[in-house]
Amino acid sequence: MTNSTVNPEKCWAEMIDEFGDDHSPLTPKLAQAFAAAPYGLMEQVSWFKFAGKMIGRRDLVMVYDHLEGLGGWTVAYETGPTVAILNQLDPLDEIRKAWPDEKILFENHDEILRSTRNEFDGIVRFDAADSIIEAEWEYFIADSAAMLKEGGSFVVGIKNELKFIFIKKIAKEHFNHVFEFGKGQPHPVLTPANINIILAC
Amino acid sequence: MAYNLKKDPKRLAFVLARYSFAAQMTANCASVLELGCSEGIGASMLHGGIKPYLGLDLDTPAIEAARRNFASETVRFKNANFLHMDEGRFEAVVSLDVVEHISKGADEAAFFQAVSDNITDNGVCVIGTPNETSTPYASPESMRGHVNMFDAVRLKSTMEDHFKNVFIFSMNDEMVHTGYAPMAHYLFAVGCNKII
Repeated sequence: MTNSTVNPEKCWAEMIDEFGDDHSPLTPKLAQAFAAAPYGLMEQVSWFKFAGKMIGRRDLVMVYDHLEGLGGWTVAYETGPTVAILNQLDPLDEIRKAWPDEKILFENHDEILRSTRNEFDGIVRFDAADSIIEAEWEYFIADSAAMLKEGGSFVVGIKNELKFIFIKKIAKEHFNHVFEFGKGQPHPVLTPANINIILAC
Repeated sequence: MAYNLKKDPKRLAFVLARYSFAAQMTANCASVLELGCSEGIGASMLHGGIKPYLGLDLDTPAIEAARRNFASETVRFKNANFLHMDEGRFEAVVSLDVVEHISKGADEAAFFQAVSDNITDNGVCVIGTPNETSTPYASPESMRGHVNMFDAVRLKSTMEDHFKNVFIFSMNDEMVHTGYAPMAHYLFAVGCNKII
């Protein structure tokens, strides 16, 4: 039975207007991911969500975002103010327009931020493409330990098992606690799929 | 345990899964203190056969059973009230299904103080407790004993009085996850970097 006084098309249009869905075009990598690699996209959003949940509501978080804004926004939604470092060739202006929330700030470079000290409550980085070499991980972990405030959390993930062992070893040199999640864990924890994650603090 | 196995055997999977998660979180700790160990069924997961372990409980028959079944030179069980106690410093302090039985106010404060007093500065603490939001589904027996239920927000803020880093996990059945905490049946708080 339908209510003749309700115009469903009008109601839907009002709702969409209220939610602000402008059907804007997707940025290139995201469009490609939706079309050609939806399972990978699902996994990777799940990684960022896990990181955001672990960090919790905080003052300032830094995220390396290989998902053209979606990764940073997924974390920011859980944590609050976030600086997202995009890949250098990502379309910065388009991404800023696509994610116009005041909680998130996008940058293409991390050099200046890497020199800060005790600035961030959380730092997040996932190497989906296995493109970060061990030496860069070593520098990055050392810099992150310095960039984090007391009580801050460091969340990184990688698929490569050998590099994961290396990252874990380096993380233990810089953090008091290194927790592992992912492949091979002995417990039925619903951690994100297809990744090894370190949570360090 | 026999009563639980007969009344609700699947609960054993839940309980062991809670210990399994606590063991994973304390894997790098060299010694373990368990507050509220009951019959000691989770002890072997926590000490893994290689770490000194001390389990404390008020329940005398349960501690006697734990000693009979699981005690060794390095695995000890003690009949004791752990509020205001000082057993030394352990790298891990684990307490599952205990804090909800401890009254709010002074006793609750004494419990968390006991956790803090008995953990090393770099220790890891794992507290597990049923979520306050699960109360409408609790059995009458559970509800009688659960005098101090926590939701995720209060569990985190209480732990943050003692630890600089606190991570909250949700659990439904034997699955631990990071889903919407109010819909979790059970909560874990993992605390580390003690506030000194």
